[in-house]
Amino acid sequence: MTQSTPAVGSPPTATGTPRRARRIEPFRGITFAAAVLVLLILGAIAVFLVVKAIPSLKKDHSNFFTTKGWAPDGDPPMFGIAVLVFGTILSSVIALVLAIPVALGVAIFVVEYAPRRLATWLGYLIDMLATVPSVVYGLWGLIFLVPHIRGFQHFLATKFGWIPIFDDPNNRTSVASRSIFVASVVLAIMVLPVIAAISREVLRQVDPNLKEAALALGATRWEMVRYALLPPSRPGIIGGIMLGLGRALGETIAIALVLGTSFAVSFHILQPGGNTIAANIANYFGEAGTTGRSALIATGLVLFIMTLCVNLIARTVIYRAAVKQGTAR
Amino acid sequence: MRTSRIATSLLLAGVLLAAAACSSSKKTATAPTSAAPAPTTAASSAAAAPATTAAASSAPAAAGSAPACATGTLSAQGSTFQQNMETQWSKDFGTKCSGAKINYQGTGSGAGITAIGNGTADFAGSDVTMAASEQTAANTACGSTALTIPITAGGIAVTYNLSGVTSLKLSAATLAGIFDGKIAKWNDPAIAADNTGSTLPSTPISVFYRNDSSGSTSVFTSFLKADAASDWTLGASKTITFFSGAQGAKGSAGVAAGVKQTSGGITYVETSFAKAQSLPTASIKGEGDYQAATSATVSTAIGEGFSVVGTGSDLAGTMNYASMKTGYPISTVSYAIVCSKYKDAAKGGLVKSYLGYAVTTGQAAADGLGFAPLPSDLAAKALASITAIS
Amino acid sequence: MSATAMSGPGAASTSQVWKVTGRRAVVNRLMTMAMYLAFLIAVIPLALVIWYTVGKGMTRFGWSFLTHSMAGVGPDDITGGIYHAIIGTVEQLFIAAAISVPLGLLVAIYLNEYGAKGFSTVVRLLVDVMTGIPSIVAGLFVLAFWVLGLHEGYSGFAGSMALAILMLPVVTRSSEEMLRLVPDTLREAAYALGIPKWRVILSIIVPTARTGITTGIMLAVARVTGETAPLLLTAAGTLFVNKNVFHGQQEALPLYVFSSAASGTPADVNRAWAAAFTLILIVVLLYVIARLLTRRDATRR
Repeated sequence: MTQSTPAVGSPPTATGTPRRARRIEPFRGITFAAAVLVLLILGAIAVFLVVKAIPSLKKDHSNFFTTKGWAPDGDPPMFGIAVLVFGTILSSVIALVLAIPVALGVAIFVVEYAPRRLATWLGYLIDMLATVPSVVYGLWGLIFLVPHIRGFQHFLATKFGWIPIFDDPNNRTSVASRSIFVASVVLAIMVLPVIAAISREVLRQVDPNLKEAALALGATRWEMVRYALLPPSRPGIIGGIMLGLGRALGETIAIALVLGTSFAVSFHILQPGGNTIAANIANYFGEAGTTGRSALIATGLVLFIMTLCVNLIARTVIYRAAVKQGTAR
Repeated sequence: MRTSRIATSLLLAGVLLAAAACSSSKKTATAPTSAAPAPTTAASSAAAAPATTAAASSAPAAAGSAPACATGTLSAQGSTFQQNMETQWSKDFGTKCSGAKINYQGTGSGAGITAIGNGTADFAGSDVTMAASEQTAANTACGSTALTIPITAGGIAVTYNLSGVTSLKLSAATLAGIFDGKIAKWNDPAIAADNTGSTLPSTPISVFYRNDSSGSTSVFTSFLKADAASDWTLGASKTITFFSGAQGAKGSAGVAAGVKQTSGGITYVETSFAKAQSLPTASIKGEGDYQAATSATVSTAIGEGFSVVGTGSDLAGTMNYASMKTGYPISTVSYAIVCSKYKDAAKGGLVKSYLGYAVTTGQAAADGLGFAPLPSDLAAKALASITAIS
Repeated sequence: MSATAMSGPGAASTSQVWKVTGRRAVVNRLMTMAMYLAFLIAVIPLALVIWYTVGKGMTRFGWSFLTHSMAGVGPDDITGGIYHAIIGTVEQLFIAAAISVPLGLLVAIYLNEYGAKGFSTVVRLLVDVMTGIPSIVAGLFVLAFWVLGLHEGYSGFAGSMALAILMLPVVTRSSEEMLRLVPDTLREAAYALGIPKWRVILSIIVPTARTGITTGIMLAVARVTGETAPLLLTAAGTLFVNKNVFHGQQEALPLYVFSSAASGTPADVNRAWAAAFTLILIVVLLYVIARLLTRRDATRR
């Protein structure tokens, strides 16, 4: 009995546990094995994807990074990720440009402007909307948004066509609407609750003394938000935005439903066409032969690396901020 | 504060549940019971019994008799061209032979051929025959020779969405111009020349094409290549890179739904999909005069243009579009790709039973859906090949 | 930084106060309006999504929709339902949870109670990396590894594995957070009584954090309930009831919504809305239950 008792007040981590105590703890071994298993699973996924991706890259008769086409089962196989990476990043960036101001506005509104009772409600609502499945947004985008946004896209093209990305050669927007822009709008609607929910949590954690001090100095409510609320929350908000970006990059089904895909790199975001890595996997995996599947895995790997970088940046930003505030582990 | 939060959540859940309950009680009264052999409710399985279809009751006399009923589940996928036909057969066959579940998924001819090569489909649907490498893969997966057998026929309709225009004529050369992006407006002189006497709006043309590997694309472009040789430069294959303003969509249903949503839209799709979306179809002029896509004109065209090139039980064929002079010029047969000998004998029995039903009794359902029955001699050959499956 | 910025308006000389205040008041009012506007802009599309799903979903939703599969539904029939999809979704989620919850919980216990500092950091980092796996990549992995690589074929179980990969990091991280909230005094009191560590963990720490852990699990389940992409590549869908999750293609609710939406005929679109409505209903119920658990726990303390 006494052997397994660590010194009172010692931290409950392994470092503080006496040697003898460890030996009679098979449970520790079980949890350790679980942790190792998770590492093995992740390692297996990574290794497997790399190994499966290599054969297609070897067979590719064109440059994997610059080719604008997809014929991995052709003879000779020719395919590249230029269009896919371009479309993935472009749609996600536009989605963020649309979503960030609104999401921040919503978060600030809920924390500072809305009546307290309403704010609680709205908090739940936002959290809940973040869990609405993407296929529902896709369905709505396809049935409602695609036909109804055509007029707006055409308006943008005719009135703001002088802005390069709204340019509309051959007047395609009058007839076609399955553009990168529509896909971005659907993505924006999807990531909005994610960013808003995280930002709201971050804003709520700002020291109330800071806000009260600002108000006591005679700041207006906006000045209080601008100078007392936002600066300390910035890392957390950036982290939230990056997580939203991660979700947008990996989104598959909504884009597969909404976008009229094509293999062309075009900055004319109102015109139909473009493609994303995830949507291409969903659309193409069925008809892909051996090389085609390997090529899809290669693109999946690229997507994984992209989202990985975004996630790591997000965590680093949040972690650094936590270090600054002294709350880091 | 806390109690109000709980109340809020409860209220929300309550409202949603109440809404669900309301709607369900309303629907049980009005909605017709599905003809499904339902898994739980005894009431609906009773309702399934009297649901006999027109197809089951009026079998054509010409074809031989279908193999006996078998039970089990088949996973099949491929051509979206024949998807509606397969769904109808699956329904009728399930009624005829209870316990037989035929799960056909429209994933595209290319995906179907890949799936049988991977061994993930029990049979595949395709509008095109297999390339040599695909045949090898299918043979390996089957452990026996994979056979290509025609099971239905249909026309690739050119369907459009143009308010006020219910009849439209298009020649092969005009079609080539539209799908090439050269003809961009509905009142283009080329279209007007095909439709003397009717006025067409200046609406821009919105072209939808299949962005998956599609037998429909192959048939449509083969027709253009044959009948509009000087105007069509993009070749003929399952995947075509159309001009940059065209919109890609997945599956026959995808392009049809796209046209339905888009004023000024046009696409090529099996007739049944245009029917399902209540879209008009154009009369097409190939080698002969303008022809509408009907069961009769398609059957005529198959008689004129189809010839078997496969040997033995294999009935793979070619379509000669230049020789379709009196029939609808964009017609094709659609195939089932099966193993000649299944590793699982029960699977083989069910494939034989189902496809045997399809090429005999099942042919009667074609007309009403927007397909065409196979010519009787071809149907007899198909039945012979299917009967040899084990 | 905020301090220097703050000093701006405060340090203005008295002669300028009136003018600056006017501008500041206007800015303040404009920004207040902007906040309300942002809220409106956010609410409109989200409300439209919900409105459409509920409104359109109701036209087909009902008892017969819930109790029938798509067996024997012809191309033009408006009948048919989601019984097979509900069975598939429930089985797949159950197995995904059965794989990921124990594993995730054990890892969380290791990280919080036993872990050596260096190794824990690595595990924690990699679990975070796992959070970033796009769902389609998880599906692609199971497709290439299990379905085609090991010739196991499509099945609900393959789908469950893909879902489990997505659930595992969420369960691990949320459980770890909850375990950390258990006060150290509780641990110390237990150790002081001479109880072995594993018993302290299993009978004191985990039960104390139980509601929080359950909430995390519910939210993780809610999150993967709507996952479509991985199931598309692994479970592959069917029209029929397939109760055997380990063999043969199986339908799932999100897959059903996707394939019906893609088909696009009026009957299919109606079914898609009704299925989407059911899906949202399930997700919202899971969410509400999770929140109620949290609330109840908070009230009890």
